[in-house]
Amino acid sequence: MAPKRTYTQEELVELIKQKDQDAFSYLYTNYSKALFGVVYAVVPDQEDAEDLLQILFVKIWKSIESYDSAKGRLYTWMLNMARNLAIDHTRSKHQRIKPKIQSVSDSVYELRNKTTENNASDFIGFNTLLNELKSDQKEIIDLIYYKGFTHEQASKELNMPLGTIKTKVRQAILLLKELTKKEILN
Amino acid sequence: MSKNDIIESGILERYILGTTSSEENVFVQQKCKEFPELNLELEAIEMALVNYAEISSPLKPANSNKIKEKVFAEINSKPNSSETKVIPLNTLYYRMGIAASALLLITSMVYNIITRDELKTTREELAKMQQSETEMNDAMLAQKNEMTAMNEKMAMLTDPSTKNITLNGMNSMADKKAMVHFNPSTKEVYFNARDMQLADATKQYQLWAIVDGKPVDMGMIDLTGKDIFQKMRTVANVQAFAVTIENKGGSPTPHLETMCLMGNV
Repeated sequence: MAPKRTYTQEELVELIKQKDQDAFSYLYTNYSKALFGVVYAVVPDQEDAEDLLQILFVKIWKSIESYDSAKGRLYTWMLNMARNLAIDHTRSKHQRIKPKIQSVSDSVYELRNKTTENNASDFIGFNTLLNELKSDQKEIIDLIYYKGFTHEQASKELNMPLGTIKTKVRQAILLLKELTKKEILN
Repeated sequence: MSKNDIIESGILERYILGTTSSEENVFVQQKCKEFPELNLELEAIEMALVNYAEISSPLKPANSNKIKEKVFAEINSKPNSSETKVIPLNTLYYRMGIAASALLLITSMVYNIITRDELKTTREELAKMQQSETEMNDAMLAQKNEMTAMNEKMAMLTDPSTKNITLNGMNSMADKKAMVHFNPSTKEVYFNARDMQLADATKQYQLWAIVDGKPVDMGMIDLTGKDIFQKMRTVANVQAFAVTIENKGGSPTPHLETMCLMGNV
């Protein structure tokens, strides 16, 4: 579901810094699902990921003061936090965090059935996306987006030239943008 | 670098994905100020990524609501932990209270010391005043006594029955005179030393009354007193008065060879 912005990012940050719970509620409504997706991509366990989501939002509330807009957008800040929390969790469980693209992809495919019962528009978007996004583009996006790999690290991990990685990321995101636009229009 | 070049470079995607360096972040933000349209581009990329993550997110609305409730319960139970933040404030008030009490105590102590000093001073002044009052009373009493004595003398001297007897000098004191005022009815005797002096401090004048041819001790004459009228012992049936020079403190019997003044009644 695309966030219907009733706050600008600056307003949202400022209000939450002032401990405005309505603004925080808005933040949760608009970003919890996406951030859960990020956590779940690293910790593919429903319960653990839900616990982590709870921890994540409490952490966001507590540490919003340390968010500096000069260092990036709010979503990027939350994304980093979600990734780190999930990765720390896998480490604390002595799980190997060696990035397995396959597992991320698998989990994404696995979700198909689960998500269908959640949201029809998401399902449509999801289907379209999966059809249109080539599997190697997905691999790269998932690696960079969910696991925080740099383009260089992804290049090494996937044994692909850096230029190829860059191109594929751009193509993938252009596609995602198109899909998002369509979704909003719908 | 043009706006399109920036978009084409893919740096905006990396900016949202959080894989840009801090230098690149500064660059992106500068360019966003330069070309405000880039902000729209950033938002579009962000929305695309949010959307993508949502699509692969198996979070059911019911579970999401439960988690949201838990999150809000936790941040609202934070008043417990934010109470620990309040404690320093309480501690502050507590400390301020202690400081105020201490200040009050010190002020009170200083005030007490000052007051005690003042009290001490006041007491000392009061003691001085009481002492001077006593002195004044004593002086008054002395004056009163003196007045009484004077009145007594005046009464005696103005009494018609009082006899004024001149004692004439003899031998070395031939040029000297003294007076005795004698009242036969009251038997009172006053000696008037006039200008009598005595150089030898070991000696003293002694008054004698001659009663039936025999000397009777009337007392020592004190020349140190201011009052030249000196009350002597009482006597009756006296024929004459005489003065001898005796050792200090007097003699039970007169040494006739030292007799220097004499007068008949």
